[in-house]
Amino acid sequence: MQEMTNVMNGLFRWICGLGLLGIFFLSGCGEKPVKNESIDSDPDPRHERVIFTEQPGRHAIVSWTTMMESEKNTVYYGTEPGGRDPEAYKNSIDSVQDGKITMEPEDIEEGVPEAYFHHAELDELEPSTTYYVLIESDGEFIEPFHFITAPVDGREFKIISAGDSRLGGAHPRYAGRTPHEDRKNMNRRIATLLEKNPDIIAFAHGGDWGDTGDWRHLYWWFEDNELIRTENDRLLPFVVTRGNHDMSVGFEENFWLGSLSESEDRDYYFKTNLNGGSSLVTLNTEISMTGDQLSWLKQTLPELRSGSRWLLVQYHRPAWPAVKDFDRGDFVRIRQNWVPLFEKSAVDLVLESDGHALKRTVPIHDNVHDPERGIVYIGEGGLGVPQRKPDRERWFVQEPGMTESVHHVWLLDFSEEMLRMTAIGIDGEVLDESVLKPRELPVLVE
Amino acid sequence: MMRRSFLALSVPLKEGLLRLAVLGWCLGMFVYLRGGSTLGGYFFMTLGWSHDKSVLVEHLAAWTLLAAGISVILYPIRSVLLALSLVSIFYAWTAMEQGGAPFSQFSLASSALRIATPLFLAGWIMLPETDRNQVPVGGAGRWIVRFIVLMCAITFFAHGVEAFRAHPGFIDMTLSFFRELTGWSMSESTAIGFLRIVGLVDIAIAIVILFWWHPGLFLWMAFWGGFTALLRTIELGPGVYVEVLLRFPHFFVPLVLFLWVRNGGWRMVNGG
Repeated sequence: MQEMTNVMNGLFRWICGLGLLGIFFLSGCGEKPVKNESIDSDPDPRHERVIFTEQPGRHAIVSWTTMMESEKNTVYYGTEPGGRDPEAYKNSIDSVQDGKITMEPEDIEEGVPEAYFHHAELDELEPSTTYYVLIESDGEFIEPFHFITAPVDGREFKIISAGDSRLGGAHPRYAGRTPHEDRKNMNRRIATLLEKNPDIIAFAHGGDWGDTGDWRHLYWWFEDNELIRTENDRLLPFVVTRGNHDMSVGFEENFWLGSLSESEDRDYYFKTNLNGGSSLVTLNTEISMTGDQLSWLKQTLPELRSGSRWLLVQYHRPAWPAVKDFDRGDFVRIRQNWVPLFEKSAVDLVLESDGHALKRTVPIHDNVHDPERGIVYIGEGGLGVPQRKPDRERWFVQEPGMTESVHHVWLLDFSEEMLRMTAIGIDGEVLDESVLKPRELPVLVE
Repeated sequence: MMRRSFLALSVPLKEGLLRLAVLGWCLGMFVYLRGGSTLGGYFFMTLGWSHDKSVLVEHLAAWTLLAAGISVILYPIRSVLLALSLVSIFYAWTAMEQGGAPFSQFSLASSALRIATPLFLAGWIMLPETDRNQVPVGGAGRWIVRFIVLMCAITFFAHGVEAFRAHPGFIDMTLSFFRELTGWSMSESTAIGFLRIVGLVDIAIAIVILFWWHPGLFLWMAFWGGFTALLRTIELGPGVYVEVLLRFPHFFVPLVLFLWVRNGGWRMVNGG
């Protein structure tokens, strides 16, 4: 017996040694860290963005970054362009949330500069109206831009949907170290889409914006986000979903949602009235799914269904994963607790992320393919994140569903008669196209 | 007579439980790795490997762990156990490095027992029969006991902190437990309050156990480790059985410590 033990010990040591050598060798095949970005040392304010929350026809949050502490932080806005002259804008409002962005030790190591967040709330806006905006921090201005508020009269509109704009690469991932052309190219693609489709009102981001919500990642995310500005200086407002990689305090500092009417602003779940007759419910898979959020969802979905031509839901972790383990606890939790509510309220479309692939499921109801009553789930995340190979054998992505390993963004085109869903690739190619018809609600809603 | 026969039985029983703990973890990892895990995420996202290569290595690791787990249940070999512990450390580290899960920064601490169990078994099989029977009062055996008690304490402490700080998964498990088994639809704020108490109890036990090896405390740790592992299946159904397998050490190791300390007459062996 002792002899056998010695032999086994020796054999195992060899296997372990060779295994470690193998891992060392294979590690060398990985992407090398390359510092290919330089920090912009310009102290001017930057990183302008617009956030839509509950009433995008009437309200918006304008946010930006300064690289130095500033006393006077003001947003000038109006319906006429005013260039860099604050006097030319009809309205002005000071920021309501300002502070120093939290710096983790790794942020300092990576050399991202200290910075400050600023958020201003624009209220009592006119729907379907172009607002021209000039941001000032202590006499320094951000290049003026404009955005368009959402309609409230039920008119046709489009939105963009996609998630996972974080990147891979050497630790600390995507802190300006590794090439991030895919994310930049996706942002350029979105800008092109916006140029071609001026009726896009918002970008529903499915979460996992950066690798973490820390500044070394969000700094570069904001830098890349400036590519979404169109040639005539239009910005596309975001509807914010929080992903599993967005859990640090930096995310809350930089993606402030103002005062939500029915939940805490740090909970990141709310409903958005897209055009007066269509609604988007944003849920948060990173907090309790069966507590207050579930109670709110139980109450909210039926209310919205009765008044909505189109009812959509978005969140980060998928109920119907095309890539990751189907039996993961959080996925099961969504299927057990949220999906039955979606089905009861006959939700039209669900937007998911997290898997790093493209998918469109078959219509699903009660865990089976049901073309009549089923809900289609699209997404899984492709805004520059490395793409995984999905499992094509899973029943819910079989024909007429689909799944692929490809960067993408979804263009959702809403009209009275149909909801057209088009997945567009990094080079502008159409990857998938399908149509949903409005539901016969009296039959479907109990 | 009965006590003597129990003592005779307890040595193979304790070793059997330890082997089972290691096997459970290996089986859990086998299923976990084959479904896609943070290990594959580390290869794919951090090292920049192709998805195919990441999955291949993950599957190879899964089958290797399965073979190792079976070998441990049949005949534990120290080098295999050491390798399993290293794999467990690496896995916990990748979970921490990848992030994206609540409290993933505590991954190494909350995995302390999973990491330590193979090492404990490796130490156990080297102990003389008398030390395996009763907690040794000195020598290397004493250090082995101190080590595994410390690992139990770290695991309990980390989970206690997660409960106290309202881990979202724990909130959902708590809500589900009371709803399914008592019919009480507890509010989220009540569940958080309940978890704060649970967390404080876990932390207190983790500290006390370092100084006072009372068999009752180990028995409680075994019960609580097994119960909280099973809660996952109560909430989410038998499909998440892998979560229970991965937590076999949380149940079996405190149980072994209970038997070990109890056998020796805990007043005699008490204290670090």
